[in-house]
Amino acid sequence: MNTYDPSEPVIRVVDILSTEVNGQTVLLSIEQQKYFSMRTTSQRVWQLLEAPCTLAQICERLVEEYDVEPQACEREAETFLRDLWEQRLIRSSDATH
Amino acid sequence: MSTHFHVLHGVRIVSDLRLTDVPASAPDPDPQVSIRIATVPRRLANATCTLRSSQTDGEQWLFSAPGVARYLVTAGNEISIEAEHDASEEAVMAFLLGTTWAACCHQRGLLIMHASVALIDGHCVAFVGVSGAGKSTLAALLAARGHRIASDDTCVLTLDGDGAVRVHPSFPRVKLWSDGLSILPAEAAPTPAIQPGKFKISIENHWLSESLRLHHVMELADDRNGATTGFETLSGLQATLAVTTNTFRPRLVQLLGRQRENFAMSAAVAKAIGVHRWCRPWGRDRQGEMIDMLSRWIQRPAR
Repeated sequence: MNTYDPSEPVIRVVDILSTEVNGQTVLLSIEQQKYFSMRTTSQRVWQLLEAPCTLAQICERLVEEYDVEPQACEREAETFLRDLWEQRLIRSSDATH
Repeated sequence: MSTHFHVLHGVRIVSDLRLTDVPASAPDPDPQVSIRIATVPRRLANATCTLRSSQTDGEQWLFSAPGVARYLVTAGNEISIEAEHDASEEAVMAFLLGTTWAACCHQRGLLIMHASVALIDGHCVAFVGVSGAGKSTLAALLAARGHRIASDDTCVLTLDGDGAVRVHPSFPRVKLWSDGLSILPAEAAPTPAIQPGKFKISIENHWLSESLRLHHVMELADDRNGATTGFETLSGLQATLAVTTNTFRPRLVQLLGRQRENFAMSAAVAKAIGVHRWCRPWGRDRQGEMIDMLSRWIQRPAR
């Protein structure tokens, strides 16, 4: 599997079921047979990842919506996206599968 | 061949075989599932997924219980059974009402749970937990205290349009590990065991056969590892997992490709009603304490 490239647009992988329960986003990765959950800001990022977006685009939105410094936002968002990538929850939106 | 009508987990059935233990119902002009004695193939020509004893081609699910019978479930509305000539009726029935029925429910898109269900002071509670957690024993103890029981082993949950969750009961019997026997009410006499160690006991006097509005799902834990007894309300992923991981025959959900639906329904149930974890006092000499603890929690003032 390729490593995460922050300049590339990414999107959720297909085989994920995502729903909201008691304010948490809960996810099932069908391919991996694993469950995940997200709260607060990570939920917002996950929501944005329904369509292809780059790290810069995500940060632009988060800075608009939350009280956060752009640099801190980028640092944390990149770590989070890298995490999602390694958990195989997102993929490059340019890839064919 | 005679025709039998039953309702199991809210599903209307017509059957060539009388379903032992499942109460008979009135003749139904429009049954949802038909159970037939018929020829059943040894394998599916276009199987897409094969396990040791079962396979599916997407539309059909074939299950083979060696020395007992082969079962073919089609589109959630037809079950064909070809029994081995020397198979006992009890064994044929056990595989029909266990794994085969679970596959039929999964094909129908129903959320079938491994849970016992009791109505306690007007609150309907589904108890879930790993095998051996004490679901059946708890049902028997609650019956002995005069509470009504709707399931000792499996039930189906459905979501009503208004956001309510309904529980559709199974049939009246409690399967207990043999050390659970001593707490049963005096009138309940054990009938012969199907599996070694498990007893089939009728609790018909305490049985609820109609569907009910479910109020709580309660995951059973105990204090054997030194944990403090008490109740904890679960939310989000924990609550969803308490439902989805206690689906009856979870490997079939996977085999039949119903995980997406199963997860969505489990999340919807977790969202709609209370999901809790109950760490109980463990041990036969503490059963009274355990039931008192549950009664107090049920009767607690609304928050």
